[in-house]
Formats: sequence, C-alpha cells, structure tokens
Amino acid sequence: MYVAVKGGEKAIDQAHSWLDETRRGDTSLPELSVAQIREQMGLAVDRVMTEGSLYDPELAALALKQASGDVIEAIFLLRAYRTTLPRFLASRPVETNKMAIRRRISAAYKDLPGGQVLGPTYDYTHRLLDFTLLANGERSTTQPAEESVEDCPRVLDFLNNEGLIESPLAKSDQKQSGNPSEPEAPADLTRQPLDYPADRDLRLQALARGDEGFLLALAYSTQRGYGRNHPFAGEIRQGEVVVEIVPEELGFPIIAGDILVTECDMINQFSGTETEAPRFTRGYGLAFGNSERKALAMALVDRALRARELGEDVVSPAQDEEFVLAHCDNLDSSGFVSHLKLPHYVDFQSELVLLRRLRKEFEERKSGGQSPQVEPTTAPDLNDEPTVNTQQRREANQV
Amino acid sequence: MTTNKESRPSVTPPLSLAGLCAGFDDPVQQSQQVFRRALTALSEPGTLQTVPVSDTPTGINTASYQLCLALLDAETPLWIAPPLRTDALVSALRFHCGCRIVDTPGLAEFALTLPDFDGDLTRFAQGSHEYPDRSTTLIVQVESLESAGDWTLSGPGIEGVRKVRIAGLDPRWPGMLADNRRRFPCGVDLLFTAGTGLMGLPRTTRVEV
Amino acid sequence: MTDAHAFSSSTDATPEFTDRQFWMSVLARADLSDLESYWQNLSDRPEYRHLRKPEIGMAMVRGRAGGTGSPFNLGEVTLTRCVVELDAGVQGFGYVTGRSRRHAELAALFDGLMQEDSSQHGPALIQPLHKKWLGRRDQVSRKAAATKVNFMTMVRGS
Repeated sequence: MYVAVKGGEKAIDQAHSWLDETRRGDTSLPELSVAQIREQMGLAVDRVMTEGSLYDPELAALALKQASGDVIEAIFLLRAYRTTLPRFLASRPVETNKMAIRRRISAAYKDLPGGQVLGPTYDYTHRLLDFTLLANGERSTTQPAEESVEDCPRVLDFLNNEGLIESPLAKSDQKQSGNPSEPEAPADLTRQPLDYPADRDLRLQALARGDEGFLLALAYSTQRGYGRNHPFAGEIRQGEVVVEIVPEELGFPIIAGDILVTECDMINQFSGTETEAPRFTRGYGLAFGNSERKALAMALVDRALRARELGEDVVSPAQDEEFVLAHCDNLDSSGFVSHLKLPHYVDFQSELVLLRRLRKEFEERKSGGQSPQVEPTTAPDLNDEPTVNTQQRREANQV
Repeated sequence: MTTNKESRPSVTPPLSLAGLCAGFDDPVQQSQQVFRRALTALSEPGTLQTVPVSDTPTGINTASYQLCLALLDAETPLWIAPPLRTDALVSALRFHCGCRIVDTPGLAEFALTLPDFDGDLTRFAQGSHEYPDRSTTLIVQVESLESAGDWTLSGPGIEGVRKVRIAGLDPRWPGMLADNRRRFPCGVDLLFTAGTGLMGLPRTTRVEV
Repeated sequence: MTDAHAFSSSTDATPEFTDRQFWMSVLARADLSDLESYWQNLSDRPEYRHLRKPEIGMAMVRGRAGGTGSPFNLGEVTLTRCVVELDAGVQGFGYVTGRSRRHAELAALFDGLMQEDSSQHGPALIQPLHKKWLGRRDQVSRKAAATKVNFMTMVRGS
C-alpha cells in the first residue's frame, strides 16, 4: 500500500532544474543537437527504436538527448510517446528477402551466392581506443565498388530446398489470432494482455521489444548449457526493407517508405522422430536499425522458447516462456525495481512492529521457559504485492 | 495456409470519395467532446445527451454518425445492419475512421443498427468472464428519446430511479434487456440515438416497464 | 484512374505494380526539399482543399518468423497521411513514413497532379526523383559490395 505523501513540490522542481543543468553539462562547450545524436550515435538510436518499439530516428535521438544518454530512460520516453499516436493500420509483413543489402554474412557457408558482405561492422576492429577521435581525427571514406551487391538469396532456403531444415512455417504458427475479425492477423501484446502459453508470434513480438542485455545473457546461458540448442549463425543481414501498407480507403498496397532492419536466421540442433527424418531447426531474430547483437540474442532465445513445441525438456530459464516473456521488457522491470524508491513508510512500519513482537516473544520464550505456544503471526495486510508479502511473512515466521 | 492468405491480402474495392460526407473538422477536439457525452450517457444511464448538428449521411442519425467518428478506428471492426448499410455511410466511415466493416455481428466491436434486427442481443459479442470488455457496443437508432416516460431505470449511475421513454422499440426489447443484464459481467452496452440525441443503457441497468 | 504511362524503367515495376503505386512510392521516398521546390516553381499551382488534414500516426510493422513464415508484430513506425482534393475534383493521397506533415501534403498534391497530367509531371518530377533515389540506393549497394569478402583458398598438400 502506498500512502499519499504531500509536499516536496518545490524540492522536486529544483531537482528537475538541476537535472536539466546536469544534462547540459559545461555550457562553454557547444550543445549537442538531436541531428548530431541521430547521425553520430546511430547504434544507441537503433536500440532505443527497437526496444521503444517505434521506428523514428529523430524521436529516438531526442529521447537519448533528454535522457542524458540513459538508454532505458530513452526507451521509456519513446514508449510513452507512441501511446499518444493513433495507429492507422498494420503494414504487410516486411519482405526481408528483398532487402537492399548493406551487410550479409553467413557463418555456415563460406562461398554462397551474393557472397559475404561485411558492411559497416565493428567486427575485426582491434578494440583499441582510437585517440585520433579524441583529437578530432580525419575519418576514412569508403571507395564504392564498380558494381552493386549481387542478389543475396536466403541462406536457409538452400537447406530448405534440400529438406534439411524445418519449414519456416512451424506447427505452432498455424493458429488463429486473438482478433476474430482479422483471423490471419498476428496477436499483439500491446492490445491484448500476454497469456501463457504464448504462441510464437507473441513471443517474437515480446523478444523484439525485449531488453538487449537480458536477452543477451539468456542467449549466452543457452550456449553454456542451460538449454543448449547448438546454434550456427546461418545468415545475418542488414539493410533497408520496404514498408508497404494497404490503406482502407485506397484498397491497394502502397509503399510509404523504407526502414533499416537487422535480421538473423539461426540454424539449430536437428531433431527427428520415427515418422520424420532428422533436420535442422530454426531460430529467428529481427530488429530495427543496426542491432546485430540484439538480433542474434533474439534468435537464440526464440529457438530456446520453442522447446515445448519441439518436444524438448523445459529445464532452463531461457526455455521457460513465462520466465523470459514476463521479465524481458525493460520498462516492466525497471518500473518495478524503481518503484522501491517510492515511499513504503507504512509497509516498513508494519514490518518493524512485527519484528519487534517476534523478538519480544523470542526473548520471553528464552527466559520464561514455560512460555505459551507461539501463535502464528500475521503481518497486517498492507503490502501492495501479495506474493512478496507472503514471502516476507514466511521469512518472518522462520525467526 | 496462413502465408497464402497474407500474400493475397483481402483487397477491398477502392473508395469513391465523390460527395463524401465530411467528418470532424477538428478531429481531436470534437472526438473528445463526443466521447465525453458517450461516457456521461453510459455512466449516468437514461440521461439525454445531445451532440451538435453536423453533416450526416442520409438515413443515419447525427448522434450515431458522430459516435462512429469519435469511437471507431482501424482496430474497431463495425457491423452495420443491412438497412443502414448505404454506400455513403460505408465510404464515409472507411475514409474517416479506417474501420473494417464486418458481416458477422459477433465479430464486431461496434454495431450500428435499427431496433428490429434479426435475432436477439446474443447475436453480438458478449465478452468473456476474463475479459467482459470484449463485447459489442451497440448504437441503436430509434424514433425519439425522452428523459421522462414509461420506463423506469435503476442501477449504477442512477440515484433512485430514472424515467425514460425510448420510442420505436419493438416488444422484444424489455425481455432482451433483462436477459442482457442477467449475463453480467458479460453482455452488451447500448447507446440509443435519435437525431442529435443520445442515451446510454449499459449492461448494469435494470429496466422496468 | 491510372494513366497508362510506362514507368517500366522502374526496378520495382511488376505486373501488379501500377503506375500510380509507382509514383506514390517515389513521392514517399523523395526528399521534402525537392518536393517543395517543385511545388514552389510550379507555374500553375492548383487550388485544393484538405479531405484529410495532414495527420501523424503510426503503422504497426510486421515481420515474418524465419523471414518467410507466419507474421508477427515487430514494432511501429511513424507515418503521416494527408488527402487533398484538387479543383478539378481529383483526390490525391499521401502516406509517408516519418512525421513531416508537409511531406505528406505535397505527396498527396502530386499524387493528384499526376492523376490529372502525368505526361507533364511524370518526366519533370517523378522520373528525376526516382533517379535520385536509385542513385542513392546504388551508392549504398556499391559501398556494401566494396566490403565483400574474397576468400583466398589455402592450398594444402601438393
């Protein structure tokens, strides 16, 4: 239970003014523009767009500026903003096969049609601090090739054509959505509350908005044996895809623009049954912008979460969909952790009262010998979180 | 299979905008004003609310049209009773609201109808015990609405009782409304309109004739 | 509504991709400054009224599991739309990603003008814009091609 606390407005105003001042930093230095952040802090912008679940580089850059570079705070700002806009419609699914490739690599095949295209990557850099940047060093420029990138067919299609990998249309995908008037539409966790077990469309949506750090750690845990699924990065691609929409009043599809996305197709552990020949399984990751680590982690966790569907034992955190989906959103998690900063004065007083009473009873038992049986103690039910409360009470009773 | 359906989206015929009935001039402000009236109508059942006069497609009450403009968007499928389903109305709603028009009342979040529709109120989505809000909200066009008359309303939002007269309802209605109330927490909410007038009967209101 | 003017030079042209779809895509992908300067330099700018004032909202972007499987909701993109009616009674539609009201409005105006007279605005507006966009895209693609790996085969044994 929270108790309304009045007062403090002036202190809060002052705290916010100081925050503004701190955010601005040394005023003898030029102020960062939003355009500079958008152009020069692009990977932070892309993460904010992906987890903020809104593709708009300018707004993501603004959010980063306002949040002094705190990515999770910026994601919060963007998520809050998106709730103020009407959703006109849903796009047709983006065709990543027709992506305008900036980067495309496969860790499964060396030679493949289209080739390995590195794109703008931090891979192969030496991770040595570049002191020329500190001294405003000159940047290098790319010399474009004579020819543009060749067609890059999807790597997993080679395997699919041979029947060596499961079809992208997994069993769990063929289902009815929660929206009866548009049965083929995927479920949307921003519209209906998340229910378990969740189907893959919902899981992918949750993972796409999920916290990169959390998903990265889970993905790593699968590699270390907690739900191992033996992954190969079949293909990672990055580039622009078309946003195609069918406005209700036009009745035909139109292109409204292009967005940059990163995609990861993971080839995983094969499995077979008595009736089905063994074949590789898939994990999938897709994120806004240049978000490769996120797409990789998402693909690994997506595959881990398919344990139930693929008849694997669910024994590790990354395979437990309620554990993953309920905790992967950094707005939920930072909100609930941060709420500990809110006044819990009454909660805490009740704990103090309870603890004092238990200690008194303990002392009496110790000194009096023949003290009456300890009554089961119950704390006044003042807590806002019943599960936590039960846990605390259990701990208190163990004293 | 799902993909086949998706790769050939149900392409609706293009919309003719010739003679299109105007929507709100200031959508944000006007939607909020109409929403406020709808909210009051449902929270104080039986009170008569009125919306301003505006352009309205033929055959449709101004209050019905403005409710549609304020409440519908691309995510709120609408069912329209066949007698009201004119091209002028469908075009206007598709353009201004972007809403899909569905053929099955049970799939609609909103329904625009005359009182004499086929079947009873169970034709519409009733919601579930987990999510009673997933039910259809009906906009029912009637002859006239008065805040005095032969019906006695009671229940949440009504201090004591409130008398109303809703003209143009056939004899099935008192029974249908009683059944609807019995289904609580499921059941439909109703907004009756006549001209610019608007009156709400949520599923919680008891009606005595 | 669509005039049968060939834009077959378009790499996007497919049997289902009509001329109107093509020019609407070009207008959506164009730079606002180019659209604005064409409008400002137009000798006979038409009168028009808004059927739908420029309005900022979002589209939910969908992806597919495995790239080609069942759809899922990835996240939203900002989208601005506008519908105008030109004096002659033609309606123009603008749907563009981002939050530029003016871009959506100009896209709608030029969609209307193209329906009226694509022989004037096609070569003067759409084709140069398309060429510029293709050039930009080609530049990116050639930079990508410059980062293509050429593996050396290490010869083993004799």
